Amino acid sequence: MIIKFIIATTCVCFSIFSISVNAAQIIHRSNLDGTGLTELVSFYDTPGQAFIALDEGAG
Amino acid sequence: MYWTDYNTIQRANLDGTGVTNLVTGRADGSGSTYARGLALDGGSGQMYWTTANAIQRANLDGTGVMDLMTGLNQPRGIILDVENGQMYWTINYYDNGSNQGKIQRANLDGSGVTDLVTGLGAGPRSIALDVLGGQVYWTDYNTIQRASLDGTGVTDLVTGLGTNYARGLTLDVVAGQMYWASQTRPSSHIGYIQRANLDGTEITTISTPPFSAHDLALDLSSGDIYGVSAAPVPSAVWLFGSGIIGLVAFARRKKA
Repeated sequence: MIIKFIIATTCVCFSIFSISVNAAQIIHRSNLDGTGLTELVSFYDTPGQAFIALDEGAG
Repeated sequence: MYWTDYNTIQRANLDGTGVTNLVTGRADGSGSTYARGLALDGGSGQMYWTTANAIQRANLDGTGVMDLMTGLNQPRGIILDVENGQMYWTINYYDNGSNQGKIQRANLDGSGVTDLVTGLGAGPRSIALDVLGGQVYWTDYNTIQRASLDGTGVTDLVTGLGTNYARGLTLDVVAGQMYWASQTRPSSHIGYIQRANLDGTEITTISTPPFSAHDLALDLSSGDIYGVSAAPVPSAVWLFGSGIIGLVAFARRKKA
């Protein structure tokens, strides 16, 4: 019983840590009116820190 | 397209293929990049980025990383005025109960650092330029502001966003519009992409959750918006749920 409690508590603590520290980040593309949404790349990062820039000439 | 993911700078083709790590360590080799804001100079083949306390530059293939400036306090967004040989960035800093947010400018080699706008909140993040119009734009929590390139004439353009904090910002100067990504606090998983005229009028929401973009870029040649968004971690959510169920079951059994 104690072991089950420890496992459950660990699950909760780890998942809270995981959600708060890292989250899946998605780079997506759409038309200027928001239609045609497409996912392009996903990666993991600290939430809200990523920036994006385009080198349009490179294709 | 190029992006920072805190520990690395990566790039890929515009269709998402060919993901490549470009920069994975600090210029002095002391660990993570902590890259934040990112700006490209395709003409000279170089990229510039902010870290927690510096602005660095490298070739677009990630080689030749060098410090341009160090000792800065939390620079965030960065934008280049290549034609005039200058870069602008936001300072996103809070110290001893005082907001230290500001807009700074320097030459592209890091010399001539100048405070353009001071006395802002703690949240200046993304920055954009309208060089021909002589204006610099930035987001600061739930406000979008602009000023002349010399820092005078600070004007609120978009206010009243409440807990919907503006994050990424980019301009379509030809169309006379600005686009921004916002996230609703306290959750970083709800957000919008909105646009308005450059004077802040006629706000339109063009993208709604589930994507919660915190930065965006425009490809005006193809008429596309590229955004980077946070999404919940499904495995962590399932783990969280199973943990809660386990604790509830434990409590009920103990009570019985």
